Order: sequence, then structure tokens, then C-alpha cells
Amino acid sequence: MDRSSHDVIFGGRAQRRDRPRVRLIQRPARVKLAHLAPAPATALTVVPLLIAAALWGTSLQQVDVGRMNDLGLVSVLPARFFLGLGVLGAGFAWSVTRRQPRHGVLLLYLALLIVMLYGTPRLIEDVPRFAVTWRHVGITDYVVRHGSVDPDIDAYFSWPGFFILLGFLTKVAGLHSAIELAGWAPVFFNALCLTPLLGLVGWATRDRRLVWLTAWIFFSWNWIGQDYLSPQALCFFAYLVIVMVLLRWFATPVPIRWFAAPEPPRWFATPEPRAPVAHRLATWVRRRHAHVPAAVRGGLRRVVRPLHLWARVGEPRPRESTPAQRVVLMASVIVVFAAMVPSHQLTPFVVVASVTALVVSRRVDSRGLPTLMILLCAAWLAFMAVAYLAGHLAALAGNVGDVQGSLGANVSSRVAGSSMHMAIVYGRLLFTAVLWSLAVIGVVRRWRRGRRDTAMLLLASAPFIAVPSQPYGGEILLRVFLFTLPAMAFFAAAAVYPSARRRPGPGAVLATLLLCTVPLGALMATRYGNERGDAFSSAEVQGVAKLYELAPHGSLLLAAGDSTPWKWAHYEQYRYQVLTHSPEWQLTDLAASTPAQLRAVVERIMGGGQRRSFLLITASQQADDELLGTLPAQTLPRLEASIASSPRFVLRFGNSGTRIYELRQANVRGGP
Amino acid sequence: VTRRTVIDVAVVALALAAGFVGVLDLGVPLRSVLVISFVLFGPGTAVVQLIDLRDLAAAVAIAVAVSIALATLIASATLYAGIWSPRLTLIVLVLATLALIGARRLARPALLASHGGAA
Repeated sequence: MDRSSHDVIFGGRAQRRDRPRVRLIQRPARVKLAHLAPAPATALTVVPLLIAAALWGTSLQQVDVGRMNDLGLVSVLPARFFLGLGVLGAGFAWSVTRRQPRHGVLLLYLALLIVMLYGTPRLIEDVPRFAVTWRHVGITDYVVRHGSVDPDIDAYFSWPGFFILLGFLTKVAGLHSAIELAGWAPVFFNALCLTPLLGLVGWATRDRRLVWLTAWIFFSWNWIGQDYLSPQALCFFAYLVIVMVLLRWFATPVPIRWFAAPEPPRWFATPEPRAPVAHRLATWVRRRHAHVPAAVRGGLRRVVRPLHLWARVGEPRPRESTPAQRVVLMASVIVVFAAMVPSHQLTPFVVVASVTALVVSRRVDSRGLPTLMILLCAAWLAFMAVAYLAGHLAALAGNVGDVQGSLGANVSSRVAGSSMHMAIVYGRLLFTAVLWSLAVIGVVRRWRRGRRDTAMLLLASAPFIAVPSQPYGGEILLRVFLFTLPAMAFFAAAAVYPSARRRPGPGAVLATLLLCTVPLGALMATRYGNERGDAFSSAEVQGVAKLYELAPHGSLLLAAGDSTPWKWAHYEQYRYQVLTHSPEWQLTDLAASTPAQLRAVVERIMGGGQRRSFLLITASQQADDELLGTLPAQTLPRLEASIASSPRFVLRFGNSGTRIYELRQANVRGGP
Repeated sequence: VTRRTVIDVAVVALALAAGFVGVLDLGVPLRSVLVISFVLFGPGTAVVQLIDLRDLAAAVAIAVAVSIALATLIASATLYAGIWSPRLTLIVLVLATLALIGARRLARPALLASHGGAA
């Protein structure tokens, strides 16, 4: 059961050199679902899972989201919830440290972990979280209504692949709106990532403890929350699939003669396999500079060759495959990448960086693939995203190489807000630092056991090339964290299990227990630390729906803050503006201004044209402003009080979460 | 009954059911489940069935990724060609799935095997 079930999931058996080669046509395999079912002897390991599910399910009834403070979701989650997480983590640690861990049981634990960590907000909150989720629904709505895209509206329409897919799915599935898919999107996307993650790590090691602990760490540390209904969530899954396929089936095998030949092999005489860059460089130097003293040349050889051999020690072999399999797999990689290019601005370039690093270092032998990927990206930019580039080329080019600016936008600007929120921000930095420190320990421990893991190291480092390229709206470090997370999780798990052992020692068991439990609580704090501003009530969504009823097309809709569940319909039919993004507002000294002066600024912003103007104030905006420190304390309530008492404004709608004010303008037809 | 036959039958049944309720716009209760399941798994599984990966985790990942990619590319092609039609996209996906499954089952094993020597 044990070895064969590992082979069913990770396909490891075919890697063994003594096995007959796999042929395309051979006796078909039987269905082996029994491999995934727990044997009676291991049934006890499922008991903690059931207890955890019961604790979690019953704890959610006690949650009152309205009492949340600036610590986020953890401030309203009861102790029973965390007890459930602890029992789940302890049960997983128990299962994975057993002499023969069972894949089926571990899979059940991971499935429940994903639901508990990523599905809890959907079960306790009224509507899907994140303002950007609602915006994505609006873009999808535009695609469905028009059957076209307009790149002049905004950048989303220059990379509309995901929204086209979502529009197609919404229509053929008979859904009213894409928002019906948004609530469980985090659970869906994380579950989606499980299989390529297992495939990738299953290539890097055959130690099943290391494989499953990597998956657990990956989901326990995924705090950045990019798994909502978004292009980047889907493209991250595609990224994992691409690197998994390339490493499993297209990794360059290590020629035996590299280790056996007394002299450097004659790379130039044999086209396949081509020499790695380091060897070719050494050969070129030796031939080009023959006049260099032999001692120096010999010294160079003595350095470069052992270095390269050292880097490949313990490297996993690629799966044996037929030419037909390689053709289909490479075609699959190209199709997946081709669908990614029109769907997201950033991910294709990270994929290009990672694949190029693997090819240049001779970890993957698909030498033409990076060129093809670059051509696809360039073609899309040149022909389909030209409207976006025309307006942003100077800004994009100006940011290249600005590491300080990028780090400032990503780190310094985020360390702000209320005291509780600052604790969450520092917690995130600490949480990240702990993972990366564990990963460094794992690298060292693997090296000391002869495992270089160069390919995984490249996957952990290649995405960092994006940092000096673009600040990406202050999010590039978050995205880099996500792209490096699979490799970092692998090395963090390797800190405990650097090599396979039949039975882990007491230290390893204790470390596993800590790794499987402590991060879960930390994840709930760091991932959902902004929840007070990110979550919405159904009253707020009803308020926005009322706004669309009240405002004629072409009106100016002004939101008092970023955290607004709007734009989910009529995406192009209104002029949307956020008060805190307005240049006039940003130039105002908010601390020194009286409410009346601030109201005058709002009037100027709203009254600048000949159209009707509406101001939308919601509870989430105020919570978000207080949380992030966007506005001085009590600015928004005082401004609203001043607006409510002004004869220039009329309250058109109000409920528990929303107020809608319209600016009286005598020269506008149809106004109040 | 082999594993591949079971998967073939399941994919064909899913494709036909999803195509039927999706194209005819039937308001059946499980319509969204059927159609979304097909779009997520159907075409990619037909592609993966062409090659026997013997690797469950990787096969599932590739099947889902290829399915989503094909749906994205075909839907985008209809949109940029000015013939945006979710139904047409679904029909193309169903036909492609059935064609891939049919081609594999009708292909002569000996012919494929002659090109299928292990690397």
C-alpha cells in the first residue's frame, strides 16, 4: 500500500532505473482507489480530524463579525475555533510522523485545513470580501453585456482573459452574476494549487513526510490573500503547473560521464547533451586564452567543474517519458502559458524569469521555451495592450531599477495605521521572516546531506528579479512572497526532514507538531488582519444597488474610501472616483482643516462638471480609514456630520451600513 | 473495465450532459455544477488521456490547467473575432473533448506504440 500509493499520487515508481521503461501503449492500469483509503489500523488518525471539524463547525455559530476590532478576524473568533485548528494540526503532525504516513489520511487533513483557513470568512460574513472582488465582477458583467472589451476604460481591459473566461462560465452555467462564484473562490483556488504542489515537491524528493509537510506549510503561510476571484489566483495555479511539468518531464538528466571522466568532456564534439553554461564558459576561456599560464587555466578548471558537479549532486532525475508524452506535455505548457499572457500583467514575466533560470542553469532542457514565452508576451504587449502602454510607458520605464522606491512602496508605506493594525503589520513581517529563516536552515541541512536542490533554489530566488523592475502598486513583495512560497515551504519542511528516515526522532516530532499548529493561529491573524475594512455587510451592497437606482448614467459617484463594494455593474456607465485618491483632497491639510473646509473640498470635487453627483459613505470605508490611518481620527464622521447639515447636500438613501448624499446643483437637469 | 475506459466514459457523459444543458439553456438544478465541472476537467482530461502519465497528482493538475486554458483561449478568440458566444465556446469545447477521446480510442495501438518508445 505504501509504496504503490506513493506511486499513484506522485508517480515515483517510474523513476526507478531498474523498472522497465514506460511505453505509451501497454496494459492499462486498474483503478486503485483503495490506495487512498485509510486502512483499519490507521483509522484512529482520522479521529482528530473529526474532532477538529466538529469544534470548527460549532465555533462559527458564536462569531459576531460586528464586534471586530483592528486586529481583524481573530478578535471575534472564539477559543473553540483555535482549539479546532490546534487539534487539526496536532492530528496532521501525528499522521505525518507515523512510521508509514498514509496519503489518504493526509489528504483529508489538508482538505479540511483549506476549508477551515480559507472558507471561514464566507461562512460568517454576509457577502464576499474585498472591494476588488466586486470590481472584477463588474468587468465580467461588462464582457457579458457587450461581448467585447474596451482597453480605453482601464488596464483590466488590456489583460481581459480571466474576465472573458468568467463571463463565459457565468453565461453557460446559468448564473445571474459572477459574484455567485466569488464566495468560495479562495477555497477553490487553494485546493487547485494542491495537485501541482504535490507534483512539484514529489519530483524534488521521495520522502513523503517532506512532501506533505511542505503542502501543510504552504497553506499555513499563505497570508497575502491573493486567492480571491482574480486573474492572479488562476495564473499562480498555472505557474505551478508549468514548473511542475518542466521539472518532472523536461529536467536535464545528469550525464554519468561528468562524474567519471578524468578530464572535462568534449562538449563541442557532441551536440547532446549540451554542456552547462559553466562548463562552456570554462571551455571557451581555455581555448580563447591559450596563452594564459597553464596553472591559471588549471585553477579555473579546478574551480568551475567541481562547483558545477557539486551543484548537481543529489538532483532528482526527470520522469521517463515517450516522445509522444513529451510532445503533449510541452503543448500543454505552451497552451497554459498562452492563456496566461492575456490574463495577467505580472505572472507571465515571473514564469519567464523562473523558466529562463531553469534553462540557463541547465536544469530544464527546453532551450527554446523562454524565447517562445518572451515572444508571446511581447506580441501581446505590442498588439493588444498598446493602449495601456501608450499611457503608462514612461511611468513603467521610470520605475525600472528603482529598488529603493519599490521597497518603500512595498514596505515603508504599509507600516502605518492604528496601534492594533501596526501589531498585525509587524506580525506579517515576522511571520515571513520566520518562514524564510526556516528555509535557510533547510537549505543548509539538505546541503550537508548532499542534496543541492538547485532547481528549487532557483524557484525560490528567480521571482525576486521583479522587485527592482516594478513596485506594482506597492504589492510586488507580496507577489514575490507568493511565487517563492512553494520552494520556501519545501526548504522550511526540509529544516525538519532534510533526509528520509524510517521513524523521526523526538526532536523532529516536536518540531513537526510546532510547525503544524503554531502557524495556523498566526495565519488567521496576519491573513485576516485587515478584515474590518475588507469585509462588507449586505446593507452596504444594498446601498450600492440603491445608488445605481438613484443615479442616472453618466453621474459622478464619489466614494469616501477605497473599501467600497461597488462597480459590480454598470462599470462603464458612471464616473467613479474615490475621495482619498482625489488630487484636491490629497493636497488638503486634513489635520488643520475644519469639517466645513473639508466639505467645501468635497463640493469642489463633486461640482466640477455638469452632471449629477452622489457621495457614498459606508461603514467599511470608515473602518478601513481608521485601520490603515488613511485619514486622521474621526475625520470621516465629522465630515459626514457637516455634509448632513449642509443645504448643498441632500440625503437620498440611508441604512445601517450606507448613506448616499447628492450634491444640489441648480444648473443640472433632473437634480434634487 | 480499465481505469482509462472509466475515465473516458465519465468525460464523454459529462461533456454530453454539460453541452446539452448549457447550449439549450435548460434551467435544471445541477446545471451550474455540470457545466463548471466539464469546463474545469473535461477537455484537459481528454488531453491527458492521450498519454498515460501514471501520476495522479500531476495528471489532475495538467487536466485542470489545460481545460481552463483552452476555455480561456477559445472564449477570447470568439470575443476578439467579434463573434462572442458562450454557447459556441461550449460547443467547441464539447466537440474537441469528444474528438480527442474518439481519436485516442480509434487510433491503432500498434501505430502509437511504434512512436512511443521510452526515452
